[in-house]
Parts: sequence; structure tokens; C-alpha cells
Amino acid sequence: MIARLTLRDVVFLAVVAACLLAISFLIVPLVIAIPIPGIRSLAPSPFYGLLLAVALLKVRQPGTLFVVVSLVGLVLLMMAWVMFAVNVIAGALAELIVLAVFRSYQRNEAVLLAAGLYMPLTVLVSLGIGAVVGGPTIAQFLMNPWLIVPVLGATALLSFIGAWAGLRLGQELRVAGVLRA
Amino acid sequence: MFQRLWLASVAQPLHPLLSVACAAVALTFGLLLRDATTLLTFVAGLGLIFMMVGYGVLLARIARIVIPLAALIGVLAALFGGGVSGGLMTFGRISLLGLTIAFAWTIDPTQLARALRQAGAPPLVALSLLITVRSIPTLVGEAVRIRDAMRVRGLSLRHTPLRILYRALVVPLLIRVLTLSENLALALETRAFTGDPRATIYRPVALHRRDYAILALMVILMSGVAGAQWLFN
Repeated sequence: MIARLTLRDVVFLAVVAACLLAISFLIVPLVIAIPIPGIRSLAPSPFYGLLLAVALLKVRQPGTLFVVVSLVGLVLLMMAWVMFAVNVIAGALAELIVLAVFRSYQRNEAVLLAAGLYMPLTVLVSLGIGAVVGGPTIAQFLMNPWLIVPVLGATALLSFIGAWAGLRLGQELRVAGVLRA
Repeated sequence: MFQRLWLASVAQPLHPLLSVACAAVALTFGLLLRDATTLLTFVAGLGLIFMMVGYGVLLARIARIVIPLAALIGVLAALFGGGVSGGLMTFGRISLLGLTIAFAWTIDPTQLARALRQAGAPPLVALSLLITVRSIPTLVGEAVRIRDAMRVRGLSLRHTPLRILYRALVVPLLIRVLTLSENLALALETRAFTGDPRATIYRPVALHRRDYAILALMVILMSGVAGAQWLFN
């Protein structure tokens, strides 16, 4: 997958992954003490939506989203494999859903869907892994719909708003000649 | 924060792939433990191993951040229906996560990229991982510089409307991301980097006696804890 990308694409995607990690390192510590499952995905979701949309606007290749989130995951793997698994599984799912619907990233709707879908999927995957790893008591707690639905809805909303802003920003940057596909 | 933690780390870090493996195995093992006493014993043992291999200063700095956080979340977990045992388990798991993160702080990204190449990873994967890790402090620095530029113009992050923040913070940061990636790609191209898998490794990374020692200590600790859990439950 990575072989189809040019050196410039790979470098750009690596810098975007670094930007996503920097945002996570700045925002997640502020909310980590709030005992709401999924809050760590909710807080940085607009930024993830925005940056992923810009990355997909520049590199409109199947696999782009997966490469970015895998790089984020590989860095997190050094700390905890659970975070790596969450990133990679959610990235693969988002990529598969978008490619099943749109076949490529040539349309802006595909970019919007991919960038907006990723963070809500990380909420679902992390809750799923938490339920499997944490045992029956935690599984019962995590699978409570009154807990999941508001967090999932808020994450999806913020993520899609971020992705929409990313599309707008990408178009502005393209008009300015800064963003070249 | 990254710089301070990195400087606080050790003169002789472990083999990077061994650090990643130790973090993964320790976290998995800790998550499998179902008893708070055993989990806390494991965490304490892991902390002791850290001190034995010369990671004491790093451990102290990470503990200063992680222990209060773990205690707070543990108390909340205990209050929200987990009881004392649930609170202690939460405290233990977050402390364990802090310790596994400590492994990551000791990894030199360049050594990691070399070790990955030695392990057979494609050069582009090793390179992109290296760029990702190396760019994080640069981008944080850029964000701080942009924030300072905003302050000079009388804008603060808290009291500025979102629409203006988007123009004053997000747009310049994104332009910096694009410029940085263009410059990096150009630098690689001018050095004839093609991602050829036959390229040799400048300085191969080898396992040292310290690496074998930490491996042995980890095996002894995990066997002891697993044995104790089996005996007492």
C-alpha cells in the first residue's frame, strides 16, 4: 500500500501523523481525568477530522487514511498496544466503508466521510476492546447505551464539523497555491 | 515536557525493539491480572526493575505525573460503583500504563528506525515512523510560536472567537505542516533517498548485556506474579 505513494506523499502523511499526535499530547491530558468512556476520542475529534480531510485532499489514494492512522498507532504502540489496535482497526474500518461506498477519494464526499468517520469508530473500537480486556463488570458498564450514544453522537458531530472545516480550508489553500495534489 | 523527560532518561537506553516488546508484554500481562494485590505487586516490581537498570530519574519524573492522576481516577472508579477493589485495580492499571509509557520515553527514534530496518521493515515505513516521531517537538514548537505571535497582536486563545482562531492559528499551522513536509521531501530527494530495500544500515543496533538482564528480570517478575496469583486464588 505504502509503495504506491510517492516519497513526497509519505513524508507529508508522516508530518500529518506527527501533527495529530502533537494535538493528542496537548489535549488528551486535559480530559484524561474525566471518567467518561470515549472522552479521549471526543476531545481531539474536530482536529483529527480537519487534518485527516486535508491529508486526503492532498493524497487522494486508497490507503492514505490507513497509512496516517497506522503511523499514529505505531508511535502509540511504543506506549501501549491497545492504542495501536484501536487506531489501526478504526482506520481500516473507515477506509473499507468509504472505499465500499465511493471506490476512491476523488470526490469530496468520500474525503468528508472518511475524515468524519474515523474518530467515532475509535470510540466504538476502544469500548469494544475495553469490554473484552476489562472483564464482565467493565463490559456491562461500557455497553450501557445511555453512556455510549451521547459520547458517540458528540464525537461524530465534532469530527464531521472538523472534516467539513478541513475541506473548506483545503479548498482555500488550493486556491492560494499552497496545497497541490 | 518531551525534552525534559528525554533528558531525564538514561545514558544507555535499551534496544528499541526490546523496549517496545517489554512495554507490550508488561501491559498485556498487567491487563490479564484480575486481583488488585497481584497487579500492584507487579507494578511495584516493574518499578524496581526500572531503578535497577538505571531508569530511576525517569521513573521519578513520570511517577510525579502518573501517580496523582491514577489516584484521582482510582478514587472516582471506587466512588462510581467499583468499590475499594475496583479503585485499586484502576489505580494499578493506570500506573502500569505510566510505566509502559516510560519505556517509550527511552527510545531514540533514530535507533528505532535502524532496528526496524535490521528487522526487515521497508525503508519507507522506518523513515515515515522516524519523521513522525521527530516532527512532534518541531510542530509543538511551531504551535507555541504561532500562539506567541497571536499574543503580540493582542489575541489570546481563551478570549478569541473561534472564527478568528481558525484564521490566526489553524491556517498558519497547516501552512507550516505543508512547508515542513515539502522541505523534508526535498532534503531526502537531494540526498538520493529512494527507499531502496538493499540500502545498508549506517550503524546496526545490537543487543547488550543490559538488554538480556532486563529480559531475565521481566521473566522472573512475571513468573513470580503469575505463580503467586495461581497459588493464592
